[in-house]
Amino acid sequence: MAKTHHYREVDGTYFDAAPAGDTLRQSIPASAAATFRSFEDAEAWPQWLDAIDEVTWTTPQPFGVGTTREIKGRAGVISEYFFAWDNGRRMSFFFDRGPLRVVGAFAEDYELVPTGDDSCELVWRYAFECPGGYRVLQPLIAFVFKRMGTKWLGQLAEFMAQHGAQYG
Amino acid sequence: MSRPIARNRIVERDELADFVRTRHHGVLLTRRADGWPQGSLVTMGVGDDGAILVSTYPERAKAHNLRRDPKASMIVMSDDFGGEWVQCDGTATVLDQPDSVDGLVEYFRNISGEHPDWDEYRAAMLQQGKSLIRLSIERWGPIARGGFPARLVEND
Repeated sequence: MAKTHHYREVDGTYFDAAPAGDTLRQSIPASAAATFRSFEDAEAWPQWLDAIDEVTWTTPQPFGVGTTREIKGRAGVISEYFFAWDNGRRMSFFFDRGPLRVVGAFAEDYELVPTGDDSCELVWRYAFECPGGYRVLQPLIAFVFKRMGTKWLGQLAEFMAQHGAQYG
Repeated sequence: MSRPIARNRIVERDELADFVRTRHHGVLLTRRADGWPQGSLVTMGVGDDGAILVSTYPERAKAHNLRRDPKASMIVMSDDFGGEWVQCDGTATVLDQPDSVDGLVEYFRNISGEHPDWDEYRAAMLQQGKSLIRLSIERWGPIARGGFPARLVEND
């Protein structure tokens, strides 16, 4: 079994300060409230973020700052800590621990901006760094992750187009 | 503080391989058409066979130079500029897409020991049009560290 690594704790300033990362935007054909409710649904994530097989919330509802979850994927299980939470509008987390040794710190921010009664825009930010000798891989990982992220956001829009009503 | 003494140590291939494997910064020397050397600062990894791997793009001058003249040298540096370094000489091949993808997987895997999704990585490398330089090491100098000649320091 892969060794578990503890990653560096970060906050919202990390999205501007990190050595690698990007901001991607995606129009979603569902309201911000409905889209946010889908984010709270553990069953929803693997349907559009196909690097994830299973999501488990590891703290009880109501969710907020301090909420944790585990995501299980091909790389193993990664534990995440939510350091920002604004119901219906925003959630941000960092990787707390996981099997990836090429990562020293990693964070994502999901911000939903209403654009109509049944539409919104997701502003998705991610930021990370590779430690020590793995830094040489940072540009490659950045390119691969952006490519995957672009695909995931498109799949989220499709998912909400099909299933948005159940979160309405 | 005492002045550092320049040191050289002769190493066999296994020790050279251990030295190179843990270092990822170097200067690649190729030869321009007019015979003058071209130096390129590069990041690098090591292949399963011990060859030095450098990811690049097909239009880069070093790739053009190596297709014309495959003789190349790599100065492998430590992260610390005052640390040890070694010059390796050899013959390089330049692989373009899609032949470069397996080597680019080897490059990543041998540095990281992992990657969660090789299919995505391969697709990304294809999309980026990455090429790979594979430098087979044929001879090498001593592992060196800069400093003052010992005769000057010993006279202090």
